[in-house]
Amino acid sequence: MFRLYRFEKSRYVFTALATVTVVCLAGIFFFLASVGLGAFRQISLREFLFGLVWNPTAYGSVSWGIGALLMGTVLVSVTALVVAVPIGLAVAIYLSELASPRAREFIKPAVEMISSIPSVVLGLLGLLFFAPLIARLFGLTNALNALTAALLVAIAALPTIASICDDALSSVPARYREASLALGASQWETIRKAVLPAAKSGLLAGILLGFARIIGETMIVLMVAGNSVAFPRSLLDPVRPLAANIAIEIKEVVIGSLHWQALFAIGLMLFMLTFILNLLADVLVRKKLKA
Amino acid sequence: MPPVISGHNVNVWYNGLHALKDASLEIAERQITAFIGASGSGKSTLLRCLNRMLDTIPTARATGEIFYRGQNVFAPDMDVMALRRRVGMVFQNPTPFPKSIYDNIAYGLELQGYVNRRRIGLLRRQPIDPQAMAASTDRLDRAVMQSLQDAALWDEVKDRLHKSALGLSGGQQQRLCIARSITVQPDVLLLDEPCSELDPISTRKIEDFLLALKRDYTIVIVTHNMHQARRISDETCFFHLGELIEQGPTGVVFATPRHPLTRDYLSGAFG
Amino acid sequence: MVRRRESIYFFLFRFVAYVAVGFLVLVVLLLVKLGADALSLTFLTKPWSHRDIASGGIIQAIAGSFYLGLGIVVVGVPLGVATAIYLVEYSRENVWKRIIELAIQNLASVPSVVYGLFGFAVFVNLLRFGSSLLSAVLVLSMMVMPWVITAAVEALKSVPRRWRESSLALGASRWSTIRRIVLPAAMPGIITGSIIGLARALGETAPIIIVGATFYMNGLPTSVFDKFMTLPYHTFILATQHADPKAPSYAAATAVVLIGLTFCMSVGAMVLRTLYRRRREW
Repeated sequence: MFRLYRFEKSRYVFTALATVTVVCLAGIFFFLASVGLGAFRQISLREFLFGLVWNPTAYGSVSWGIGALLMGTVLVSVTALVVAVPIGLAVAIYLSELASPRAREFIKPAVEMISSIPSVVLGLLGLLFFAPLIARLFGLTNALNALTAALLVAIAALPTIASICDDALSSVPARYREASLALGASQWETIRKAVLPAAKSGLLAGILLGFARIIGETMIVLMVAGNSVAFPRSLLDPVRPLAANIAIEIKEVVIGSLHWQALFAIGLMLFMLTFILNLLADVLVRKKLKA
Repeated sequence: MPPVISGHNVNVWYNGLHALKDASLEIAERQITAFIGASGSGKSTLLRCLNRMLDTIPTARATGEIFYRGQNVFAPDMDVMALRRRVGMVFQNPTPFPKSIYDNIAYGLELQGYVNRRRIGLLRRQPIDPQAMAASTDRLDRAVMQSLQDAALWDEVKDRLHKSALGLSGGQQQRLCIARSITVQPDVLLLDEPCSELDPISTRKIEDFLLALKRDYTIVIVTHNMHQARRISDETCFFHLGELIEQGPTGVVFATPRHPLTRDYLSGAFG
Repeated sequence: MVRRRESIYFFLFRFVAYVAVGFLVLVVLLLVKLGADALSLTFLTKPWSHRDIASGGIIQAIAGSFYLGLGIVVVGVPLGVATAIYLVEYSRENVWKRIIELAIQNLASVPSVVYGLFGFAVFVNLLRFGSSLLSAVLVLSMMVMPWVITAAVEALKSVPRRWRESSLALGASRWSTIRRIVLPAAMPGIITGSIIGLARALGETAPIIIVGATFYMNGLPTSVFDKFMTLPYHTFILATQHADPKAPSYAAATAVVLIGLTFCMSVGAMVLRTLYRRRREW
């Protein structure tokens, strides 16, 4: 017994070209790890993760704790997620269940367009418009803080969440809806009890991917999060999330120094976080395909 | 006269599903051989083996031997592209490419490196004058015209050769596809239910076309329609659930089938 | 009672969707309002003047973004399309295909600042390209690949299988089939997807801060190893690191040019897609 098979030169060419993607991803991981892990020869993992003071250029006693930066990332990301998920879901539900085809044809591209707003433009808007607005609302002198950044990051992540959730909802077979409506359920009950549960894993995947986008967002937090390495006590404190910290410091450090390695270690952390979120989302989507 | 194609104990599996079981057959030169049987009986599968189009189904595996003029079709070093130039195939749905009528017909020869110097790049979109075509000595022009005339399409399309082939009717599209296949001057023509999507008048035109082609080509046709097999074929092979039940001259198979299954099928007891 | 609750929910969903869209309009209007004073022909066509920002323009930033786009079209887009061709036309259902798909998915969500780090370590330092146009093109090409691949895979998959079979049955090799039949049919979809990806890449700022953009230079870059100015970086610096009181307005004006560019590209691509869908005959 043999498998029908044919030699093709072009197959090898295209396989090689496609492999570039794997090389890129592996290369990113390899470089981040090879440089970043070097930092832990001199910095203890405990100091790095739980130290609250990040002061790599201090005269005398340097300090490598990313606690405050990490807290900045957590504050901004979680707040952004809390804002973006309900809105993203609402947009997705509207698009897939309620909108007329004509409204859909108009709203869907508009949502796509939001994702094409460069994040530097959102940051600029934050600086010039949202921060003053929030300052007035909360009676602050300066509103470059975690909350302002979180709101803008939420806007940046909204299209990701909305469009993946829309895909998940739209792929629920029509018979689920028909069966539920035929049993006398109202449209809202149908959405809540039949459609949403059926699309659950796809929706969760959309949220995870949105979260990955939020964690990695750099320009907005660089511009409007306030850029302070002090440990934040509330949402209205200025913060400097991990991604912003890399962008701020990388150009100033001596290549190969401990500081350089430490920044790569932060990069490695961000990479691993988004990698894990991605794998989880992938597992969820596959599970759904099997079911 | 030795058969053009002979198959011995051909087996095909799709993902472990045994779709063709130990089929052995002979296909005679310049005759029309019809494969008949219900859906899923393995007739299209065997047809796809004959020019290795089975390769395009990733899950398929095959064993056995098929000889085309002495060459083992299944041999690993078989030049599949050369084989397919000799053993052409036409599919169930008409499949003109999204190109002009002229370019559809010329495609097979262009693959072999023929170039019409007047039709390069943007010039392809220029209208084609039928008179100039008829007078042309260019090899592609001659071949395209010849094929269209053979398919009795020339008069229907000569004024729109540069227009998309997708604008033709279903029957015209299918005749175009057959014309496209014979432009490369194959030896054998395989047809997989070529008329199943067409109306009776178009079907009739295609049958006439095939009967005319019999003079120069060996033809194998898979058909659902036993009347069609009776009308045009010289040999008939009856398939059932992956087995080749019976092969013989069409008149004999239809008049005095040897196997009870064949008899039931032909009398309409199933299928 | 149920009816009323239902209609309230539905009203909310609709409201939120329209607000989201309204936000887009708001962004554009705000920026235009903020940047209106600075927008002028001089601004669009003159080189940047560091001393007196009102007397100069952003032509170098526009040109820099254009060069970047050109570089991505030359490097990132073909690689993306080739990978899509592998996935749709050549790959078998095996582990290797899965690995490539996973790699693409993950590349799409690697944070942009991490791309910057990688580019800085590998292209700028290890390969000694320096802070340059070349390094930036390579980094952005990596970022653009997953977007191009996703769009190209869709486009290739929408080409009917029967055309491939017909071509193969005429004795074509797989590569001739792809080149002569599949690619021409998929090309509009591929171009659309590539334009959208390109528009997004041109708005990326974090990676090019790290690998090569500069705020001020004389003239235009003359080789791929030169530094360059770009619209997003220019916006960023004007917004955050320039002391001139007119800087915010010029930042907004630069942002208007930037989103004008990306919107035009995206809208153009979408229009192309719609037109093409209408015209499609199969």
